[in-house]
Amino acid sequence: MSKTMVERGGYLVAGLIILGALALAGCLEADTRGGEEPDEVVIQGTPTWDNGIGELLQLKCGVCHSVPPNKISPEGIPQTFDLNVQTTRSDGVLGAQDILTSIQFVVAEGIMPKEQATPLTDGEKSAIQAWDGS
Amino acid sequence: MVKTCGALFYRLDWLRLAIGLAAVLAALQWASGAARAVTFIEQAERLQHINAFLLDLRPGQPPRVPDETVLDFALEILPAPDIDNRVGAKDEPIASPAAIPRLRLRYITASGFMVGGTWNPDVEFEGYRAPWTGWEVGYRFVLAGLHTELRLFAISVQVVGPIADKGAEDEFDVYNRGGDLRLGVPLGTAMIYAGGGEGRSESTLRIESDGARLDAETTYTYILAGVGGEWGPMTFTYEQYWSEDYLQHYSISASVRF
Repeated sequence: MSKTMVERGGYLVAGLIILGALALAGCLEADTRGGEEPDEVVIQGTPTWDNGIGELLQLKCGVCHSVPPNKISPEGIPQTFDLNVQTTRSDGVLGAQDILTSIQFVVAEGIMPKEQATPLTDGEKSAIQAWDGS
Repeated sequence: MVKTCGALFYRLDWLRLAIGLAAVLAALQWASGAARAVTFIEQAERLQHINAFLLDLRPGQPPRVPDETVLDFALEILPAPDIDNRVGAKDEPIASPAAIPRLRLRYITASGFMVGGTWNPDVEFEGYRAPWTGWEVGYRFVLAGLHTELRLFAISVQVVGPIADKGAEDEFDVYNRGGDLRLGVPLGTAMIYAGGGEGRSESTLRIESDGARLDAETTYTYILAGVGGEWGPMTFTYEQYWSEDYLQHYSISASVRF
């Protein structure tokens, strides 16, 4: 084995030892916000569309349940209702008020929101159950 | 250590402001018309940005101006941090590798011009394929005793595999491009250096199971600091990155010059 090869082997080992030591001291951190509690829409008083329900449904439901669907909406999402609006749209697409009992049912049964969507807090679920559509 | 590293660089108010504004603008743009940012969208978007930044083509080498024209062949390893894949109430089954290995080739002339590239073939490994192509050009010069490099880069990566669901063929496409500047202080055969850059990242995640398509784009900033040492024909480099205010990672590389 030539002297040059031995020297190169020595350089390689020395360099890798130093790199290893630096790597141990390196900073590795990713903040995905994955562990954060979901935003909560706090409603004071009687829940109405203008008093919190509109904001709540748009924030946590209407992102996917919109017509036309957003890019993030799952394929095949119903296009008969839009949870970003309270009442029936001029094009016949139903609003949240029109399917109130369905909304309350899927929320009560835990069918919605889907697992990968922003969870509803207990306060938000209660507000939806207490909403009379107004 | 992690918290200390972050605090050291992000106490700069102007930088925090710029990063905050960029994040807000990106979130608004991505939410495409939503009245305000939504938590699960923010989480999904952040997750996408982090994975895109980890695939970025950062300098990975001291900005030393060579005495003669060289061809530099490097093996670079980018360890990935632990990533919380929780989106909404679901832990996305994303299986990120512990580290990303990458081969890089650079041609640097004695006058300081640099052109480099990295390429990975479309070969399946552990259920994933990740072909990529990246290019970089730069100019190195000595300014007041400081070795300096201005660099532009672009990298396109496609990851295909069971990203969001086992057995699925999901697809994550990333296109990053940008530029950076770094300054190095020679200490004999070693060099310590630091710099910063800005890039534009566009990424798309296509989930096969429900047909969803998640687009994320952002203008991002990063700062870096590194140390490199030359031993004979070899250069060993450690480079630390702080990307926006939510990702810290580093690369280590060993290269040989011809």
